[in-house]
Parts: sequence; structure tokens; C-alpha cells
Amino acid sequence: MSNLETRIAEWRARMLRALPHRYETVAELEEHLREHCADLQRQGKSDGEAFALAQERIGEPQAIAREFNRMPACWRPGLILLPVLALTLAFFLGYYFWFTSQRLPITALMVASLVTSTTGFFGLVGSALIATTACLKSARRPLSERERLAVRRMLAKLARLSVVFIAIGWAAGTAWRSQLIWNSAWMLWSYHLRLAGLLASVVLLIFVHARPATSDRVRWLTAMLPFLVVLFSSFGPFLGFANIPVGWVCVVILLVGQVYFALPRFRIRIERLPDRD
Amino acid sequence: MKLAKDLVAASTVPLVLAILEEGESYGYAIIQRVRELSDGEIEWTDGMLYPVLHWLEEEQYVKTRWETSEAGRKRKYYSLRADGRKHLADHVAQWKLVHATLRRAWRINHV
Repeated sequence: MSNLETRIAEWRARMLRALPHRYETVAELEEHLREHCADLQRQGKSDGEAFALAQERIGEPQAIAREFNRMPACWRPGLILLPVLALTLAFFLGYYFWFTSQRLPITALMVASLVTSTTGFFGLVGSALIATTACLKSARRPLSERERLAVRRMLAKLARLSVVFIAIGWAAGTAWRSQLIWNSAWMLWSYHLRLAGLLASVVLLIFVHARPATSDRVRWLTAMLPFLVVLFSSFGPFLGFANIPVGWVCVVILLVGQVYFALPRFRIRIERLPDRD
Repeated sequence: MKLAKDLVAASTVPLVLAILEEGESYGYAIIQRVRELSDGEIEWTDGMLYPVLHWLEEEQYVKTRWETSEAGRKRKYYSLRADGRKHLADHVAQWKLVHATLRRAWRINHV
């Protein structure tokens, strides 16, 4: 290895100590360093001089790391707006449907309710799936920044979509419930309790995602919560989940998760990085 | 002229976004472009650009891809998203306001 290569390798090691596990970032900075070195060499500088100058210009690893940790993590209220609107609208609609159910097309509303809430629940299953896989993968090897970002975005999107669908499903289902399903007050209350638990966990998830400072672990764990509520609160009978044993659901989640992480768009990005370690 | 730290911090994002509006680019080239645009007057500590670029990516103002350079090395390219363009327009409007106000306050009639 040439003198320059040795120095760059030492520099990379220092950079990685300052920014643990951030291989992509360090690779990007290294590329910058190399390009600057090459430019300086073209201007007639020796290897040693070029490296010293380029290293000085790029800055101290610790200072760069501090800057990375200092970037503003601001709230993103835009992410909360849609769910809040959906929930508010659903509340008023549900209230209206409950009292005017005699005059409404019950069957159509029932179908709409089943379709939308099932879609919403599948969204929650999806986010639990992605979160569980991310957790398991990260136990084996540190996830790359790109993977973390992709998981984060996917979870945020799914959470927002699910809450909108579940809210619509709940509102549409009120008319039907007020007439056909229950005459027992307890059934009614337990249903609403379970639904409230579910919505609370989804709302928590949305808040967690609107706050960029949250650690990835917390994001993943919160993403599993709504699904667990669905699984263990006997929501199942109304949605057909009851026919699927819990164990099988978990197995499917793990398998699909493994496939998800093996997708080329993740794999390629990791392999494409400079492999000099 | 050495720019005050606050001013550097405030102008980095609009400057980077404006450079990316010219077309896709990568870290080293962005730094070169800043030097060119400022006639060599604005010089950042190069490494400090990257936290900003990553923040812009996180906020979805820019999108990125890795590409092999002519020298056969991997380079991370940044390009503007629609949100980034909007963010830049916001910055431009605000900077114009500051610029106009300062000019009036300093009673500068030219430029």
C-alpha cells in the first residue's frame, strides 16, 4: 500500500470512530478527501502535502461528528395534519350516522366499512412487519443509513394511511352497528374501548414519526404496538383475523420481512459502497 | 473576508439548494461551485457541508443516488426534489427582504 493509501486508511479509521457505523457517510467523506488530494497532486503537490492540505480542509473528525449530531431536528406538523383531519371528520360522520341510520343504505356502508378498516389493519400489519424485521436485522448487523431512512419513511407513510382508513371504516360502520350488530351495551363499549386503544397506539406512532429526533429503536417498537393491540384485543372476529393463528401470522411477518430486506434496492446500495475496510 | 459563523450557517442551505437547482451535483463539486460563485471569498470547512446535505435528504428536499465516477470510485449525487424547490423559493424571498431592508437602512442606493 502506498504512503497516501496508508494515511487515508488511518484517516478513515479515525472518521469511523467519530461516526460509528456510518459507513456510507464516511465513504462519502473519503471520496471527497481523495478527490481533493488528486486535485492538489495535479497542481504539483507531493502525496504528503496534498493529503495534509486536504485533511485540514475537510476538518477534524470529531468536529464533523458534532455537526452531524447538531443538525436541527424540528417537528413536522404537516405529518400530523392528515390523521387529525381524518379522525375529526370520522367522529362527526360517525355521530351523524349513528342517529340517522334508519335512513341510510346500511349494506353499502357496511361493505365500505369492512373494506376500509381491513385495509387500514393491513397497513398496521405491514408496519409491524417492517419494524420487526428492522429490529431483528439490527441485532445481527448495524443497519446502513439508507436502510434506516427507508424504514423510517415507510413506517411513517403506513401509519398515516392506516389511521385514515381505520377512521373512515369506523365512521362508515357506525350506522350499521347502531342497527344490526349489538343490543348489548357492554359489547358496544368494549368495541369502542378496543378501538380507542388502537387509535391511541396509532396516534402515538404518528407523533413518534413527526419528531425526527426519536431514535430508530423507539420508532420500531412503537410501530409494533398497534398490531399487537389488534392481535390481542379480540378485534379479530370482526375482521377475519381470528381464523389465522397468531403463530402463523408471526412466521409470515418474519419471512416477508427477510425478503423485504433482501430486495435489490437495499442490497445493491450497500454493496456498491467502496469496499476498502 | 472571513464570514461570521452565524452568517455562514444561515446561508448554507439556500446556497446549496441554489447550486443543486443548476443540476445534480456531489459534495466536492458543490464546494468548488461555492468558491467559484463567491470568487473564492466564501470558504467552508469542507466536512461541514455533509451534515447539511444529509439533513436536506432527511427532510426530503433532495434525493440521492450513488454513481461510479470516471475514476471508478463511488460518488453520492444529490438532486433537488419539488419540496426543495419550494424551500429554496422561501429562502430567496426571505433573503430578498433582508437584503432590501439592509440596503434601505444603510442608505445604499446603488447595486
